[in-house]
Amino acid sequence: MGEMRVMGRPGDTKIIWDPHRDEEVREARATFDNLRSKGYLAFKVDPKGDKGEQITRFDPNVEKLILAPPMRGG
Amino acid sequence: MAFVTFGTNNSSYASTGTAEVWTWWNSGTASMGCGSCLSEPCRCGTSAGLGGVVSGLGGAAVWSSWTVTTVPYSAPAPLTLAQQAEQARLQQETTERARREYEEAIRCQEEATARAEALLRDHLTVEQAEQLIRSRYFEVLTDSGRRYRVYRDRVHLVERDRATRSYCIHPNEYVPEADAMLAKKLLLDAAEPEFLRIANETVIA
Repeated sequence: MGEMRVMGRPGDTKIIWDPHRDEEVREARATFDNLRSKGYLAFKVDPKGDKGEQITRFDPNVEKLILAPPMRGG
Repeated sequence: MAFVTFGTNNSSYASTGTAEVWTWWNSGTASMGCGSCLSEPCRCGTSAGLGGVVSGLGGAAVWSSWTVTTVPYSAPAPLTLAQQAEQARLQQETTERARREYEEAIRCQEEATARAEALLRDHLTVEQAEQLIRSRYFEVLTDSGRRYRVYRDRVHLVERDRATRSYCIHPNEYVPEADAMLAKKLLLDAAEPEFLRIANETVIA
């Protein structure tokens, strides 16, 4: 199962998908693409806290993703 | 509508005294008709007939007319006991609704904070999690070999155990503090140059 955590005002929202089910993958990909178009940063992460990797394209086989809102200097 | 245009009507102005000028001015103002649409007679209906009544009169007549057409204040009738009770009930309902909405907002905020803290803990190493509890920051060692301290509100570059630069960077929209810390950590881990490009840098003396 793939999992995507999207940061937002109420904390993160969890979106999960089964990489073998096309419809779930399609929905997850649409969410990913929509957020990316808004400037969200996507990271492929490891649950153990190891270094993540920034990605720009949705990969249904990734185990866990975190999407953070676009960043700006303060 | 009459204007006193001193620049273009000097000869007329010179031949009259000050009192006459003001009479003329008031007469002119009086004949303006409506103060809203500035047309005579009034076209907007707010002071229909006023222009006709006061046209050609002096300033006193204008103010008299103004006073007459103003609706005098009258105190509202006192409420009956039943009306007072109804008003109190409505007030009570409003207060109660506001209290419930406030409590709901606080509960949502607490849930959001707890969820964000959990997500952050899940993506810190054991050392970083301990450091956060102990020192209110955690350190990130990037691929470039630099060491950063991620605080709740800022990030410091640490060189020889001393903070030398401060970086201010945060998500574009509100997220709980722990989520913002995690976003900074992920960006530092995965894309340090992008982090440095976005963040505002201050040299610490």
